[in-house]
Amino acid sequence: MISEIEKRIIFEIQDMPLDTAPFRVIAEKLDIPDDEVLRICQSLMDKGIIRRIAPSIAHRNMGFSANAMTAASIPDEDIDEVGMAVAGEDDVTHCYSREGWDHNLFFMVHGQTREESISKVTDIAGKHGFSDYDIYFSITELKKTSFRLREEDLVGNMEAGQ
Amino acid sequence: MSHGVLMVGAWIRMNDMTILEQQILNELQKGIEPVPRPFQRIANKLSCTEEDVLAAINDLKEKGLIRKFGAIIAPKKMGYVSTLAAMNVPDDEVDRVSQMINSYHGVTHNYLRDGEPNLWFTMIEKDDEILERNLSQIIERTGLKIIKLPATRTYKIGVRFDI
Repeated sequence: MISEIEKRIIFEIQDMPLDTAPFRVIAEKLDIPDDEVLRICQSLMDKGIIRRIAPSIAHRNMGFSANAMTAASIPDEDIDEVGMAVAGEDDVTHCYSREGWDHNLFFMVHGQTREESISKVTDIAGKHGFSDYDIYFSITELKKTSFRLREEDLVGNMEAGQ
Repeated sequence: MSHGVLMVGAWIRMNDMTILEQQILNELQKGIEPVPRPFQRIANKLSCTEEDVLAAINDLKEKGLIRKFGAIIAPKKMGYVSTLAAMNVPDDEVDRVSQMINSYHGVTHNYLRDGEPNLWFTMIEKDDEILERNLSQIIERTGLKIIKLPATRTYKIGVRFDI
């Protein structure tokens, strides 16, 4: 599914060397040609394994404080249609269907205040025709990190618990 | 003095970012390409140097406005599995329980939220077996229930904000 060299390169560019030629820095470190690093990166992007090479924003520090997770109950036969429609709203940043509970549609709206978030969610629910939902506002961000490969994920056998 | 300048002053105090940093951040959020000099495009566009772009990344990291700069990975495309999990934790146990949960490498997000359940975290692991083992361990160590809420479809994920 993913080769050792691909994993090694992902590991190196998760947190990019701050250099005008960062891929060359990685190539030198791994002792492979620059072109090879560029080619593998492009291929990882084409495969969607690397979504983007970009900053991970610390949203909580940026004024987007009223992070409202909404969980709604949608009839199973409508879930894809409603899910895609809700995802099409500009104010919605994340939208998933989930199993395991009575609420099966989850989406995230970020507002500057709770009132703003509530108003956005109310509008979305009205527009897309659902009324059984709960909004779970964040009180405290207890952990927020990006997924990262660890050094131990690189070597041979995948053997790592927590 | 124009209104615009006052607005700018407010921005700088609020977000601790210079105008150039805001512009650079906006451009960086579009993502860089795997090319020999990936910051050249932004430098040309903003009439600054590549070093300015790098210095801005460094400053934004130091100020805690960005967590990191680099590849944003889709673990599922690498075969990893993930789930959202919800727990209802008594107020006086939130610290203890959340610290224990956060100690798992695979836990990437954890929020205390209003309502019930009140603790919501995501866990990503290499396979179902490890994921299940970790969740069972948490149930065992806390004596609390976990509602496991794996995504069945992803309709939208991770949109950038214009700053």
